[in-house]
Amino acid sequence: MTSRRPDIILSTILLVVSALWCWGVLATIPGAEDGSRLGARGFPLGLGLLLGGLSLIILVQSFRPASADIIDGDAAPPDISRGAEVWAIVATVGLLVGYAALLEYTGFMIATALVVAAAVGPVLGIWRPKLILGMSIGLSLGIYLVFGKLLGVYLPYGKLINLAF
Amino acid sequence: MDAFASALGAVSDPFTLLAIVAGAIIGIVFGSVPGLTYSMALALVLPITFKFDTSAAVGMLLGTYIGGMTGGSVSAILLGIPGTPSAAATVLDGYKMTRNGRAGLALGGAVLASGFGGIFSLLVMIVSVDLVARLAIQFGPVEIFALVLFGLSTICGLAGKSLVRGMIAGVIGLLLMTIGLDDMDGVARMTFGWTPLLQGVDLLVAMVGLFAVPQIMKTLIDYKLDRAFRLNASGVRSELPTLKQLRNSFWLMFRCSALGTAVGSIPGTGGPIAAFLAYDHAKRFSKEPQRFGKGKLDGVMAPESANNAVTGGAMIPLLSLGIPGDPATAVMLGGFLIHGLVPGPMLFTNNKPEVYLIYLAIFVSYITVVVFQYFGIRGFVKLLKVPPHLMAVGILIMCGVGTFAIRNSFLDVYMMVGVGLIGYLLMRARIPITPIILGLVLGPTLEREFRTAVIMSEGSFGVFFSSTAAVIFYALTIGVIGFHFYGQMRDAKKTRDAANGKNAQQQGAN
Repeated sequence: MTSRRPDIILSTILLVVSALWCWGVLATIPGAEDGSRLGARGFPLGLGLLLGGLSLIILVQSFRPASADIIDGDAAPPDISRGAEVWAIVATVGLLVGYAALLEYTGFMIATALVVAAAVGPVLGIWRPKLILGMSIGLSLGIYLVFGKLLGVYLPYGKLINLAF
Repeated sequence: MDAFASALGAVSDPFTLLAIVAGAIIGIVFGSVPGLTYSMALALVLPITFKFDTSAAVGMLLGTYIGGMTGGSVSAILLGIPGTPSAAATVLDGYKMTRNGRAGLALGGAVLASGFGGIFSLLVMIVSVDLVARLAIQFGPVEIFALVLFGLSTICGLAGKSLVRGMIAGVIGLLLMTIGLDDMDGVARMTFGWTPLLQGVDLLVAMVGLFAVPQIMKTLIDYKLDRAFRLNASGVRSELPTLKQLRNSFWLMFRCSALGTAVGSIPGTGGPIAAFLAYDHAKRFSKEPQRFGKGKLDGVMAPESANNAVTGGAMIPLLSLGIPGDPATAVMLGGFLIHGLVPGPMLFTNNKPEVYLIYLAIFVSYITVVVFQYFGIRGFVKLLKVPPHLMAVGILIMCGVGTFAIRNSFLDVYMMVGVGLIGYLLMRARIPITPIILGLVLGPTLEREFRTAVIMSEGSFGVFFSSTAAVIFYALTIGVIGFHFYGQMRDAKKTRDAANGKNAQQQGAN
């Protein structure tokens, strides 16, 4: 199995990122007026060009015979079921984004209990009420006591709770 | 002497002691559970230390680091799955010992060897770190730039198997660190007028995102595909080797600890390399090499003393030069900086008590780790029975709470998710994560010293070759890259030859 296609996609994306980055540097960062100075622009511009150059190497390698698998020395990517991978990404990102939003509006306790319940029940598909309740209450209360009370870490109260009280 | 007394006072403060112990336990837990890494533990612990004074914060970070390094052996021995990459060599004989009904002895031997290796490397570190710092104190911007460049090149080269991919990762880290307000010119860079971005990409947010989020995703994938590990061992107790066994293994542990310390002091190498080298060394010089791989105690003690000796070795470039050798020390460097300790030659002039505090905290951490791992093994066995997908739920919550606690910013939580997603996709594209972190940590120094040197030389780039030390570092950088490139070409040739040989055989058979 060769890694030609993923490498072409990767290098193309990185080349586009590099081009956009260099454009962004030139368009938004002023250059140094004094010739003896490198200025704020020099370093990011050089790095952008370097990224482009390295991406080109990957692109060229991916077109070489025997593919980049050999030249790169890396094995092909691990065989992961696409469906399981997409599910895991969506679940993780969804839970974290949901948690951030809930933290902001409902505060730490409610947000944590809801997200843990959602993670164990609907996401992992473990419909055991005792486990869901135990983990939801245990984690939210445990973190509240250790972080909020013992260590003095600020835990958000939530905009809705603040409005209500 | 006053500095030492002050450090001793700080480390014997009950809260600092508690922080070290808590850190060590967290480290062992994260180190022992496959899928949880101690780099992740450090990234999650760091926001908690914000409220602590320097001694408690440093103690907790060091405890986590050392606990994590040691804890990897628990699952390596009981499950045959290394909790950390450093414990991979321990699996070879440790798991065989478990299957032969000698898990207790393997665990006890590993604990003892870990403590020996760690304290040995601490002593070497105390002696050498000051010497290196004294040498490095004469370094100016050019030498520091060259040194950081060397550190980055080593790490980029060794982080993955592909040098180009490692370098891409390093450049991504360096690019990310340029976002925000430029300290030297006071201009916004790559913010596109969005004020919240002026503060730049927070190092901690990036660390939590890069270390924890991809790991949660991987755990969920394993859960979905039903390939998570299961522990069948129960009622295991640690059992110390006999005096005779210890006498027989003493010089082996000594040699492996020296090897581990030396390997650890080279940025970009780390525990796995040290452990496998030590295992190979033990087997090569053993009177019974045929018993290796079949459950020999030396096969556990050699890699465990070496991988723990890496901790002291890695501290040498970290403390004396400000160069982290692996992801965990990179996170610690971030933590030290946040708490006002700037690793590098000046640390030994400006923060003498804190330097002693670091030494003492490492010592206390090792004692704690040995005690907890020896007496608390039943607890860790129970912990290993908790399904990893349920642990992932807890980690997910910790990611949110920890990231928010950094600056009380909800935006940071979203940024952490974004960075984590990018980290996972990069990992799938075989771009290693470690150099990204190192680029983020070392980037500001690299740029600052480079620009300062250019300003001081009034625009002449010849200044970068005006110092012998700098030229040596450039030569080393080129040497590392050349060595790596040569290794890749040699591997490619081997693979090609093997493929050609196989084809020829098939044709012959037809």
